[in-house]
Amino acid sequence: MKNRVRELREAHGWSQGVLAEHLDVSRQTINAIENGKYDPSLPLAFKLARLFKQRIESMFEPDEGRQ
Amino acid sequence: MAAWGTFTMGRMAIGRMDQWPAWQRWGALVLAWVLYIGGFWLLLDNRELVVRGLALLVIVAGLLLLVYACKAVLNERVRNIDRWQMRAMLPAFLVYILLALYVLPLVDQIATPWLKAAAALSPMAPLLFVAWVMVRYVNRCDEMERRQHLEASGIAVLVVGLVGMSLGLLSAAKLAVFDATFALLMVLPALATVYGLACALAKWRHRAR
Repeated sequence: MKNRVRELREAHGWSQGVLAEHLDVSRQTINAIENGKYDPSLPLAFKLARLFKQRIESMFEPDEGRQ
Repeated sequence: MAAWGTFTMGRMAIGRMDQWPAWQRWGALVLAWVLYIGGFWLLLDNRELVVRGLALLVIVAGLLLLVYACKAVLNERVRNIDRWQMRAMLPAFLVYILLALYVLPLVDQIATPWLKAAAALSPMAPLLFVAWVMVRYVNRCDEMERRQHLEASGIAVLVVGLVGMSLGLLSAAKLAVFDATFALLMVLPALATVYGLACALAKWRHRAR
């Protein structure tokens, strides 16, 4: 799954650690989500969308090849 | 007052060890292992009560530093759940060492069967507590960490099971001889070691940079 987490985080001027603290997750989880190595659960995806004031579908989109 | 201020500043500095330069974080990790192994060496090499007490303190300091340094090397901060886990596990760990050092050697001298069984099984009390702490800790981890713990426990069961089966087959073929008591005692440490290594590997692979 592709996502805009890194882009939105950097637009807010936050480090991975700061975002991790906002979401109450580990920094490695943020790193894995940003690098597309881990797809967050729906509750975490909604938390991210709410934090960045985005619609969830504007933040995440499935990889073309995996559809 | 000034001493308390220095202590608080020191605690804060250790609490944010993830922000230290890399060489300091790795240095802290090496120091933690030196304290931990050195503490055990002191404990097992001496019979004097004072030295053994000192050794326990060194082990505790090493363990505390180990938790902070491991997290820091992975660019991870120590969270409230990590502190809770440390606070819960350290006393249990100390009780286990004390029981192993001072109660287990007495088992052979006890004649009453139920008392002998109670003394022999006494180290299980802190171990059961540690198991409960681990279950609660994993439940309070975030979703990706829980997946890592699940994968690590699966790997541990598979590796220990396959190695155990292989050794059992060699023993059945009379190609190797193993002490059954020793083999049974090694199951939990082997599971914990492989589980720990698999967890560390997964965390290293996904560490933040």
